[in-house]
Amino acid sequence: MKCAKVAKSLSPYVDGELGETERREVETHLAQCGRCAGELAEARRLQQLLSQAERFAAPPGFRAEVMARIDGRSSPGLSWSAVSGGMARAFVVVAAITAGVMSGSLLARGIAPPQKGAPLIETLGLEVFEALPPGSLGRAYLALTEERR
Amino acid sequence: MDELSRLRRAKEGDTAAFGELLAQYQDRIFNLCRYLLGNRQDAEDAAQDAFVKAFRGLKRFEPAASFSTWLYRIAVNTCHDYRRRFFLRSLLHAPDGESVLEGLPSPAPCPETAYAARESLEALRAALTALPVKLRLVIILKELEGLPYEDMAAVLEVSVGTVKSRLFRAREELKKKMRSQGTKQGPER
Repeated sequence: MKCAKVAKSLSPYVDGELGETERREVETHLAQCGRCAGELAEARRLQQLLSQAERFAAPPGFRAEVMARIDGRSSPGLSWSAVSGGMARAFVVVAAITAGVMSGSLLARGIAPPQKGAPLIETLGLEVFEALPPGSLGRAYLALTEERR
Repeated sequence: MDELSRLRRAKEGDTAAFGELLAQYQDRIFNLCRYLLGNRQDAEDAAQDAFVKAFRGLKRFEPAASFSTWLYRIAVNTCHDYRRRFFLRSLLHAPDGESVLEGLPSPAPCPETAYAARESLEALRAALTALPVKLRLVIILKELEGLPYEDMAAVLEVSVGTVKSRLFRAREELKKKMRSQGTKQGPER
């Protein structure tokens, strides 16, 4: 067995998940190869370290809380109010963006009405934002595009 | 009463029998959720949801199958749902700053080895946290929950070969990340 194959077999080896034949082959190789034996030692160290990782116990009252939910005496963990609150916030964000785009579009049209026969690209120029008051969203956008140019 | 009898009674709607199953598995399911979700409150909510779903789905459960495997699968899927919700939530809120690091293994108390153990456990915490959730999950199921490959495959609904390759990748990643932690902390003393 070659080192590359042994390297892949070390994980199931330390888990005791190798078949008898393969386990023997790995062990034969390990007895002759210092590098793979070192890899095995590292794998065992990692396993030992993970065995020290804390096991978290369910908090007090956990069972009673679940039983109350099963009996219909308590609301679920992710309640409808939480879900609907999240949806409401999402709706506000989407509505704000939509309103911003629509009002910006109307404002731009009011400031620079497209001239009959003018090329479309000119009517969409950033200059329309220059007429807006300082501190407005349009001017902020203009400043942003200036930075990126 | 053994597990099978509890299961049969719980399937017939006996909530007390289900309560006994709950008592038997609550720590393992909470622990899994805690490591997957990274904070106590979300883990508690997800673990509760998993048990409620299990109770409601018990009629469909075949007692010939492993109850613990079935329960782990529900918990893992519930945690995936929570993680998807976190992603959506993160689009609307700033992160609350709590991470999987919170409350992970505390240093060993033995004074002779405390310093070295603290360093190793710190590196392990950081490495586990940085591991992609798919790889972290196989480490948790194998190393913390002690599941054999076949049960892991059933929980994850993948082949045993996939479990093997994921575990291999997870361990390689963990070692790599821990080595880089060691490098960042400086040479060994």
